[in-house]
Amino acid sequence: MTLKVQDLDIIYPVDGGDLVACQNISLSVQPGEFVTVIGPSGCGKSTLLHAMGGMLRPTRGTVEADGTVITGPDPRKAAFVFQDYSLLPWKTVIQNVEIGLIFAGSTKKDARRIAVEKLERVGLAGYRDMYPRQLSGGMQQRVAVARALALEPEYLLMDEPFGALDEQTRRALGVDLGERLSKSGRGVVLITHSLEEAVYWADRVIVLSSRPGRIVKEIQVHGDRPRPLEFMTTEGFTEVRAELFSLIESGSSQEIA
Amino acid sequence: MSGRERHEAPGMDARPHDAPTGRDRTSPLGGRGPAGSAREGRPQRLFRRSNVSSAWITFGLLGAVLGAWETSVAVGALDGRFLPPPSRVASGIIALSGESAVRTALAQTAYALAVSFAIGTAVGLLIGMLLGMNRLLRDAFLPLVIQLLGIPKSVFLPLFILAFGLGHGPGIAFGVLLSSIQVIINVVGAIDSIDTVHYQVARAYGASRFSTFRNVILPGAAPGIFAGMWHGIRNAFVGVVVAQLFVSSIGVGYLVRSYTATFRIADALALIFFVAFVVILVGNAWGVLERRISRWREPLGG
Repeated sequence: MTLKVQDLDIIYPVDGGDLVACQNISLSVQPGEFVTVIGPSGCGKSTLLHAMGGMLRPTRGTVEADGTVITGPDPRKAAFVFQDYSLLPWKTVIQNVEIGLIFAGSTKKDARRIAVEKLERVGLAGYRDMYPRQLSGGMQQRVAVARALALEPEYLLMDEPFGALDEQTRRALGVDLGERLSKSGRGVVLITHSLEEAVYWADRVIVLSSRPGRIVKEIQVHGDRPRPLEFMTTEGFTEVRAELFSLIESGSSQEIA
Repeated sequence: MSGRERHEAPGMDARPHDAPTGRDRTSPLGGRGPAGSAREGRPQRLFRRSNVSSAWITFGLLGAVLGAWETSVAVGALDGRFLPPPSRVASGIIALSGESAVRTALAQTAYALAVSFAIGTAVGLLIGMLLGMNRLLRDAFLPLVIQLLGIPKSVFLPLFILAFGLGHGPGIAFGVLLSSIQVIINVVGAIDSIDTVHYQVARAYGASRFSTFRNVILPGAAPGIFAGMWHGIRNAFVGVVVAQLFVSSIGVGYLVRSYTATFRIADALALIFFVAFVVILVGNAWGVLERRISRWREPLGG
């Protein structure tokens, strides 16, 4: 399945005029491809992701999955991993992994079977009966990833999933999940404000300008996935990172000025 | 596993400051103290350890007050005719338990309380859910409920007699009014306390309205709803007893009124203490239940 965004505008009506969150965005994501979207804060990257997952209707333009226009969320095509604290705190870890399937209409029995398997996949099999509060932030996000994987989606839509974690946890989790997801062969769209993450995860980085969010540049990142942590010390990585840095910095300074 | 340490999978991001997360979501309107105090995090623990000795202080204070009261009456500092000493109140409790009028009154009050709590809670839950889940209804009606909360409702009591007579009617009706308002406010507060990201998850994974209600709204609001129901019991009780005290010719309230009117102060006090004791017992039992269903809110343990 190819995920295709075409001539997308998203405008929010606000007091005293319109707020243009995304402007004239076109992009497509191939099956199994990792695309990261980066941009200054408030540039509409989360809005773009929500539109790609059918969570909000574009003002203009379309989002298509293999030529069919997406009009609402379909977790079996594209499943969300939200920023943080998205686990239901009143459900145990295993119930949280099941709930996506149950919301999507699976039977309790099927959901349990798949959830057990996915929880194992993210390395948390021993934590199934704990409550989210008993887990660290990094572990909670693993559970959120397992919940998304349980639907066997063609794409994972990840909205700054590591944003609330400290840098070391974030890197360790990024490397680990990057590897697991690469092996699963699913496509990923990852929103991030971390340059490192944007480059490390990506086959292709999409850089958005500050509001209104437009695509400033698309950069290919070479190197097979899964990538070892040492990838971050290679010349290819450093070059792309430097380029992103200057793009983002010039974008934010405009915003400030 | 002992719940006191944090758990990390081997070889994972086990780091001391990647601490358990979770936001304190004490509902602005609902949520009782005891269930909430355990959720404040580390510093509280310092105080919790002293629980055993604090209980002794509490009982010591109670004992001292009762002792002072008893002696004051014995030495004549307090007039035993108006304020009989605790010993006479205690023997009054024993004596009264044999009187059929007292048993009838207790049964009448218990019945009125049960009916008014059942109706008040049902009405409160229904309206609270509707207001909690529907923006329009909420904006239209919640301000009215909040205003109603602020006025002393006893002033309506005479109207209740006119409408419901002198029997069970006014007590039950007044209890329903008092308890349903409390339940409404608490249920709306409980639903408000649910984070929007949880609704987003439900939507992103294609949940039906019913499934969202069952898996997100109901369990998310359950602790607040439960606390609200306790306020419902308490207020139903207040409503029933106040109505009986002032207008009815039945129940514990009426009996207290007639005892004081005929100078049976020790008996009146005995009845009051007995009822207070029962209310405290029920309150504690409710607290235990409440903690049990709010287990997921405890940061550590289990």
